[in-house]
Amino acid sequence: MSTGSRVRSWQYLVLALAVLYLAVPVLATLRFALTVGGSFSLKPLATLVGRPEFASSMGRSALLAVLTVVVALVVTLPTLVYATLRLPRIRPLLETVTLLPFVVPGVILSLGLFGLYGGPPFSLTGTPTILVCSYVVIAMPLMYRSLDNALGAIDARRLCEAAESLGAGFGSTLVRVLLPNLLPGVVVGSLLTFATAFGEFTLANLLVGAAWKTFPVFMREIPDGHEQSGVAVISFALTWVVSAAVLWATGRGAATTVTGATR
Amino acid sequence: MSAATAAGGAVSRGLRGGARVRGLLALAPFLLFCAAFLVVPLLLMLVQSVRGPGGDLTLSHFGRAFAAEYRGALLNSLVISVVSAAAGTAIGGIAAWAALHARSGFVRRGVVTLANVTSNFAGIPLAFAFIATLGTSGFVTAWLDRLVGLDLCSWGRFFYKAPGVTLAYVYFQLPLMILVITPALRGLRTEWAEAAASLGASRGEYFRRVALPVLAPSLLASFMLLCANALGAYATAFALAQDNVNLLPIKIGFLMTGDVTLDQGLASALAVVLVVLMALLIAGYQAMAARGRRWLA
Repeated sequence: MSTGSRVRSWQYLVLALAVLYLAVPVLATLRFALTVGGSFSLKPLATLVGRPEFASSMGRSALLAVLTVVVALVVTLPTLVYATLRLPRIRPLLETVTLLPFVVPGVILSLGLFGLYGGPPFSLTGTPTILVCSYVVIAMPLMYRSLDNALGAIDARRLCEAAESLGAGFGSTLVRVLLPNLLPGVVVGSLLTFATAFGEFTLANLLVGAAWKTFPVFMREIPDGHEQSGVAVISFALTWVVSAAVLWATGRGAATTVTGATR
Repeated sequence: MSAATAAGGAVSRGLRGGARVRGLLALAPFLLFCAAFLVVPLLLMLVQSVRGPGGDLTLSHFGRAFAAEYRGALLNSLVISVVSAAAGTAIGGIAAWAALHARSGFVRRGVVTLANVTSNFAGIPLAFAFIATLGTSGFVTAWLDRLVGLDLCSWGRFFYKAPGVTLAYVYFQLPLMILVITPALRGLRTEWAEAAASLGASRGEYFRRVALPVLAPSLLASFMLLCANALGAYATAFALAQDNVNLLPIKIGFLMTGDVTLDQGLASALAVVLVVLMALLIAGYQAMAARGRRWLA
């Protein structure tokens, strides 16, 4: 080891502090979820899962997330492939648009959507439709980048030329040639989109709220501390499964679902 | 990507009329979607922030947005995002450095995995986790109480407000910092340290005159990304402190859900202020990150 990269003990101390800061809340939450009055108990978890709104709100969020993934794929994939292969001039515009959700926090997007869809002629607030549409927008950077990475990794041009010389049109080239080759990107983009839509609170709370309670909206209304911890553990486990799946699918480091709207 | 892009030009020269129509069909859903649910709502908001009751152009909404009550929210938002971003940048940066150069492979891989897993822990679940950890009956609070005899009442007043929100924000800043800065730290080559050492530079001189200048753009980029990350956050603060914390996103949310009818002009003006700040931070992040990448080739 050279002098420049030898780690001093105070630096290890900072690392230990950071690891503790990240690990202790997870462990404390797990402990709080599984104890009542200092001894082990599954009662808080049982009460939580037994709440009538637990299953129904989870079902709603799962439905919302699946619909978001489907719409996001249908909207993003053909556009990205077409722009990359036939209209590269339009790519900077697409990249700017897909960057916007990073700049626009969920609260602001809610306010903007409320102004346009809060009343006639397009009354969409209070319905799940507005959530699917806005989640597609929020997850756009994740879907776009995942697909773009996958597209960069294959020789799309040669595949398309081969398909076209065999007489295939854009649609069948897309579905029967490119899609199978882009599968890793499709999987990663779908997982990240699913996780984003499933856990989104701000828009669900401000645009729909009690009219169609999603899982995060139900979550916030839980009164009991032990049950709060239980639901935090469940949602942490879900995001952990998604990040593990993304890491497995990419074999690389970055699996973060960070967009401005989800904090 | 560049190969595909170059090839795209060649293919598009052979574009026929029918293919052009189909191409528009392929682009239309995406562009329509972004227009309908992102661009048009935002433009409408911008219009409403400068439109008076009679449809005239006015800056009175911005006047109200910068008056006492909301100026406090703006300042609080700025302070909380700068403080949490500074803590995240400093602690996360040093932790990432130590992890990257740790002798044990378990530490090297473990820290990145931990950062990956915890970077997605935010919003309501994060607030609940912090309540279980540092709330009045939290795990660490009880431990601190036994150790130093905490005054739980004043601790509660401290935790369920801005300071507690800042601590929770640091939680999502740390992993993001570790993930963002690790590639830049990896770009610092060991040969540079060796060259500096063989020329007689001390460790401090190497750090000040080689490592820091190379890392400065990346560190600044990360700091701005972290500031933006905290500035727009809503769910975490809302679940932890409800309306007890005076932050810009909380204020805007409160205007939307409060008992009185929505004051669209005021809410839009506040939103425009927030979006402008976010846009400046993200633009700064992009510019600095591009400069930082020069050394990573």
